[in-house]
Amino acid sequence: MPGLRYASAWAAGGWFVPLLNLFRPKQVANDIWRASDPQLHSDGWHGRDVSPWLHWWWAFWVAGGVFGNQAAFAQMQADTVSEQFRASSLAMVADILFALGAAFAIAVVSVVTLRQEARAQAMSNAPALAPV
Amino acid sequence: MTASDPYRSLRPPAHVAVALLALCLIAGAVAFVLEMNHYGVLSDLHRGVGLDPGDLSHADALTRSADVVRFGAFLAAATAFSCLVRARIATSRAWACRVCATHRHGRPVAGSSRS
Repeated sequence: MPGLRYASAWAAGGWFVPLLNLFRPKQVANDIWRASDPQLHSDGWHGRDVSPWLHWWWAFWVAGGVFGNQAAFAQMQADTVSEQFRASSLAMVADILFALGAAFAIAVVSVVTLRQEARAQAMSNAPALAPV
Repeated sequence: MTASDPYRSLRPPAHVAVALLALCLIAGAVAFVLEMNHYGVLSDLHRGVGLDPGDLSHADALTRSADVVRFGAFLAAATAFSCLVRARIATSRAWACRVCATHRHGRPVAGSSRS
């Protein structure tokens, strides 16, 4: 699919670059979602809407990361019982957010796979174009 | 998918990714329960119930267990997200070429008359 914004390497590398890992994997996922539309030809897909499943997945993932980091930091600094309470509360919130993120990630993977299967099927059924 | 689809192997292994993410979800729930128990022990300590070294080590063990479970969940999620890489490669390569019978993994098939 021509016109994808980021190279394949960003799909992995985007997770490891500080600050960039807050949005680059989501941008790659957005491109995959848009370009996997079984109804579309190669042009005109850039401006398509992205499913709310992706937004929720990413929102829970990032929020879980923020709370998880806060919890780990609070745990390290905790000297009193009330500080440990706070660290424990943050960790519980992070666990819930990550679990919800995982649930939405399951939905995203499943739906993207269905779209890619459907698009591949549509492509293999379409008449072949001139050789490239 | 039919045999005429040579790009099948490039698309994401959804069942593996879903299984790993399901493990991640379960691990998140387990870590939450462990952390909740930790919170309960802290609460008892705060109220002056069971103030002995055994309870303190129990609370410590709970939070360490939760950390181990979280690390497992992180590894599962990281492995599952390699699915994203495969999806990205499939998106760019498989559909850049619509002559599916003559290309495989973005390269011309040996012996093909078309490149």
